[in-house]
Amino acid sequence: MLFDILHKFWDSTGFKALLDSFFKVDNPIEILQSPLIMILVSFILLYLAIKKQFEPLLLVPIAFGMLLTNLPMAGLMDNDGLLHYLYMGTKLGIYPPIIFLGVGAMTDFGPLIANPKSVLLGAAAQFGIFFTFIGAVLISKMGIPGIGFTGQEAASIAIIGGADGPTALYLTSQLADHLLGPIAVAAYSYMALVPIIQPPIMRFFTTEEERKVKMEQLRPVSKTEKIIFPIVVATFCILLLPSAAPLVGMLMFGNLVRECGVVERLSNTIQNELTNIVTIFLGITVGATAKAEVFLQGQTIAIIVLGLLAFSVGTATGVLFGKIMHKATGGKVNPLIGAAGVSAVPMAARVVQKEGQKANPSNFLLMHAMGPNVAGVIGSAVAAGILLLFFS
Amino acid sequence: MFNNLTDISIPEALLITVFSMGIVFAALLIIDLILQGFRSLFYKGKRQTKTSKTNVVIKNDKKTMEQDRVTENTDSDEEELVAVIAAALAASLSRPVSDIKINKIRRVGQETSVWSKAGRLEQMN
Repeated sequence: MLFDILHKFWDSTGFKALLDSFFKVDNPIEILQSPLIMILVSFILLYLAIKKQFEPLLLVPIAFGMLLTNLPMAGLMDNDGLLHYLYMGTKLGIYPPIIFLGVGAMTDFGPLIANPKSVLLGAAAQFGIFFTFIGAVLISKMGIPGIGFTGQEAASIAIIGGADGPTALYLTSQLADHLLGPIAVAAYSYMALVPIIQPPIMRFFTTEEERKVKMEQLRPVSKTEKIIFPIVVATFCILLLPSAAPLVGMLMFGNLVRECGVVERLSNTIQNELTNIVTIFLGITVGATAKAEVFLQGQTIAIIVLGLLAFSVGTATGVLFGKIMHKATGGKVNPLIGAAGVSAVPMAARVVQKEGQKANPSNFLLMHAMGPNVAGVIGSAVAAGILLLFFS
Repeated sequence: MFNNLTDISIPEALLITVFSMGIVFAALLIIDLILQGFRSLFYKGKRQTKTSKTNVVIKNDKKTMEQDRVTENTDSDEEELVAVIAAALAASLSRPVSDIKINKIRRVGQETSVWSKAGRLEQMN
């Protein structure tokens, strides 16, 4: 009797299911898809987030969501599971635009308004997205077993090059939600690795002389300009690309709330409580989509490689366009600021500042780099709108 | 928009790329033009108002009054600057402003050597 109870209890535990997934398999290759491996991956991500502080605000919830979803028998992502209900906010495209609302409320578009030409650097860096899109389609045509992407999947992978978490998650949730896990991990890992990925590319495409260039001080921007900017940009972009409305609309609304100065309470709530709450739900549910059978596929490796390609090409095209502007302006523009066009606010701008200062210790490029940096956010939202137009 | 979204061909992918990059550039170029419009509308406008104010002063022959006002403004600006420096010092030393005695604040010229600047930056970081 007691033995029966113990036996039934053992059968109901996750330990048994976990051990079975590892030891009771028909084909040894199935071991590679064991939840145990995903649990280890989640531990590694937690280590990177907590110890190395790689984008901890998102990586901690993502990694923990990954852990929860891969613990057998818990069923948190089953149809009646807690995380499944919370996941509806991600799947229906609600959380990412709310995060964009927070990004808008935290972003100062002043450097962009002061130096309008830098907006073009934000456009040039989006080339990484479409280069990767072609790359994903090419890989699919190669006929490698287990690796092949539909048009929607290729578009979702390509948007990693936008270096913008909410944009990547929004587009993926709309086009290929089964890839949310790998795409989120790739996007946020690369964003954390911007200080390692970008500098060699920046140095490769520029000369010492170009990196030394000091830029003129930016003009002061009035409050009126800062208030009109989000209204004009939202109206124009949404009329041009209605599919970009959720992202651009929320980004610009958040910015208007910040700049108008009459709704301080709303601005504070958006910047703090609202963004924090939604970050928790978004992170944990995105992590929860990374189930072993979905994540541990050849496709994930391809996504990670393509994501790196997207970031690198975006950085390179941004710097190359910066060089064109350097020549066109008679040496007034430091081409390094083009690298900040990939978004990844404000990390990419900080990298530009550091590299500029390495070449010339009296160089202060931070505010100049913030122009292309925030332009990149608008650029990637526009690019996402176009991809949605084609593939939804 | 395409007949088969699951199987995109290379020419289709290239077409999407060219079209999309064209739209991204066009959209951001128009934003650039709008922002340049901002500059001529708001920034130049500001400088013009300043000049016209000076003109009015000269016309009305209230030069002395205006000069006095300028001196007052500079004085209050200097006082503000001293207050900001004192507050920054207090914050960085974690001590109340009343505990800090500032004898002299000297403006450092912009033409200092690169090494001095690098040294100062290192201190700050």
